[in-house]
Amino acid sequence: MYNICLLFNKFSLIIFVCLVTCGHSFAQQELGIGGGFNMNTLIIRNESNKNVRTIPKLGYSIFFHSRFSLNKSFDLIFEPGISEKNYQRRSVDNQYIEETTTNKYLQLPINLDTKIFKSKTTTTYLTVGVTIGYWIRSNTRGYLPDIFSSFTSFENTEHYNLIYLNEKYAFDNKKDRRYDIAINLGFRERFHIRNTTLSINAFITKSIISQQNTYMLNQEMQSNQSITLQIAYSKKLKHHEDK
Amino acid sequence: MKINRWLIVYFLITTTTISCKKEQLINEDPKSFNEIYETFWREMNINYVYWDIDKTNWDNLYSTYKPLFNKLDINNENDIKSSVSYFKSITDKLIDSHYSISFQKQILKDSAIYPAYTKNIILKKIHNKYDFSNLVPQYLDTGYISSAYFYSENNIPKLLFTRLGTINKSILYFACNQFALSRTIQSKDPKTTSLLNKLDFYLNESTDIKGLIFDFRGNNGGDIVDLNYLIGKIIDRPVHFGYVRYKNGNNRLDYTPWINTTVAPQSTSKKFQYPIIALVDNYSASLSETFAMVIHTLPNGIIVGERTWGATGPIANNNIYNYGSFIIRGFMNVTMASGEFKYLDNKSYEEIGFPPDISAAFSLTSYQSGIDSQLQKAIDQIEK
Repeated sequence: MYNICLLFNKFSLIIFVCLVTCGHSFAQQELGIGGGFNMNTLIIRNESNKNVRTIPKLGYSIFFHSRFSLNKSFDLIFEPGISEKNYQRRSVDNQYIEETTTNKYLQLPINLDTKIFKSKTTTTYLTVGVTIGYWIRSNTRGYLPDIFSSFTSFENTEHYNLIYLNEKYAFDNKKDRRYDIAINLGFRERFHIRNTTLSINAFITKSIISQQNTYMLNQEMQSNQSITLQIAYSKKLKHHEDK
Repeated sequence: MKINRWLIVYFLITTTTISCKKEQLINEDPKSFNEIYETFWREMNINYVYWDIDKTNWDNLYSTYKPLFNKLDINNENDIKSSVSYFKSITDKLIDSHYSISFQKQILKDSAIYPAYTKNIILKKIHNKYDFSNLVPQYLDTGYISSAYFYSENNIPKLLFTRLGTINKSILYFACNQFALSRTIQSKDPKTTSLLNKLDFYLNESTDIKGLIFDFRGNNGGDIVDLNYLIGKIIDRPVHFGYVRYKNGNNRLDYTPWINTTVAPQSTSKKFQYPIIALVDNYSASLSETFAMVIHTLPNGIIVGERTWGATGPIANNNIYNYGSFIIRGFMNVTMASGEFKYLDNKSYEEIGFPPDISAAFSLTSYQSGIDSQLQKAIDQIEK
C-alpha cells in the first residue's frame, strides 16, 4: 500500500510539473476535474474455451482535466487520474464458475481534440489519443467449484460445492505486464458557461499491448477494451484569445 | 454538419465491432503429424495445470521436436510407432503424476505412456505392488465382511473390493482397493451396501470401538464423491485440508485464485473421538492420498506406512471445467489433473508424494512369512 501511495505521489508530481511547464506555451489553458463510467471487457485473441465467456462490467474513472489550446482547430487534453476497468469470466451454463476481476489503473490519457462543429454555446470535437496506464491493483471475487467437495444427487448427477472468494491479486513479475498503452477514439461536446466549461465525452479505449509479458511461444494477447462516458468541469485560466 | 458527425460515429462503431469478431476452430481429425504435434503442444499449454512449478522447458521442446514430427508420415506404420517414442521423451519429465497418454490407433493399442510409473518404478525404485488382502484376515476378529463389486467405467471392467472388520474387538478396520463406494449405493449392490451399513453401525452405535484403521494400501483413487461420503461419517464440521486452483485461460500461467478445499460432514455423522489411522504405501495414489492428507489434518489422525505415489491433483469431469484431460480426435487421449492442489502447509506434494507420520516400510521377508508388518505397526500405534 505504501508503494502505491509513493507511486501515486510521484505520478501526480510529474503530471503537475508537465502541466505547469506546458501551460506557459499555450494561448489558452483550462484546469478542472472530471469523472465517468466505463464498460470494459477483456479481449482474448483466438480464445478457444467454449465453457467460459467474458462479460463486460461497469467501472469508473476520476481525473484532473486540463486543456491546452494549440490553435483554432486543435486542443491538447491531459486527464491524469485513476480508472477501474473490470470484467467477468463466467461459465456458459452459469453454474460453477464466476470470477469478477476489478483492475485499478493510474493513467494519463493524452488526447488531441479536433474541432468539427461549433455553435454559440457548444463545440464538438473528434478526440484521438493515447492512454498510458499503470496497473496498481487487482481483485477477484466470485465463486469456483471445490472439486474435492462433491456429492451425488438423487438423479445420480454429480454436483460440486461452490467456494466464494474475494481476494486481492498478487502480481506475478514473470507473467503480469503492469504498464498499459491504449488508443482512444471518440467525441467530446463542450458547453461554454461564462469562463467555465462543461465537457462530455464518449470514446472507445483499446489497449494495444497485452496485460501479460511474453513468457511463452504463441502466447495469447489479453487486453482491456472499454467504452467510456465522462464528464469534466473546468475553468479557463488564461484568456489571451479573449483579449 | 450533423450528418457528418453521425457518419463518423457509424464508422467508429463498425470498425471496432468488426475487429472483435473471433474465428471458431473446427475439431477435425488431424491429417498430418505436424498437425497432431501442433495441437498437442497447444492443448498442453492450455490444459496442463502445473506450469508454474514444472521445470520442463516446453518452448524448447517445441523447437526440438517440430522438425522431427514434420518428417513423420501419418500413413506409415513405422512412423506412427516412432511418434510414440517422441511423445514419451517430450513428456517424461512432467510432474503431474496423473499424466498418461493412450492411443486410439489399433497398432498403438499397447503403447500407453505413463511418466509417473517410469519415475516411481525405475528412478525411485519403489518395491513391487503386493496384495495384502490375503494377510489381513489373520488380524481380524471372526465375522469380518468382504465384498467384491464389478462395474464398468468407459467400457473398462473394474472391481471394487472392500473389507470391514474389527481387530481385538476394539479397532475398526476398513479397506478398499479403490473409491467407488457411492456407486455401489446408487446401483444398490446388496453386499457392499450391507458392508457400508455395518460401518455406519460401528461408527455411530458401537461403544467398543476405540480406534479406526483405513487401509488404503495399493488404492489408486477413484470417485471424488467418496471423500465426503467416507470422511463425512467421522467428522462433525467441515475440515479444511488444502487449496486448489484451476487454469482459466489458454496461456500457461493463466490461473484462477487458490480456493480452500474442504470435506463436509454428513447430516447424521458424529465426530470420531479415537485415533484414526490412514495406512498407506507407495502405491496409494490420487484420492487415497487426499484421504491420507485429510486424516493427517485431523487432530486424532495419523498416517502410517510409506510415502504415497504423488498424484495429488484432482480429476474432474470436463463438462464442469474445460481444462485438464483432452483428446486429439483420431489419435490420442491425454489424461491429467484438472486442478493444481497444495496441502494446508502451502506445499505441493505432486510427484514427491505425501510422507507418513509414522514410517512403516514394506518388508518382503515379513510378507513372505505371512506377516503384515505395516498393519501391525498401525495396531500397535492405537493400542500403545
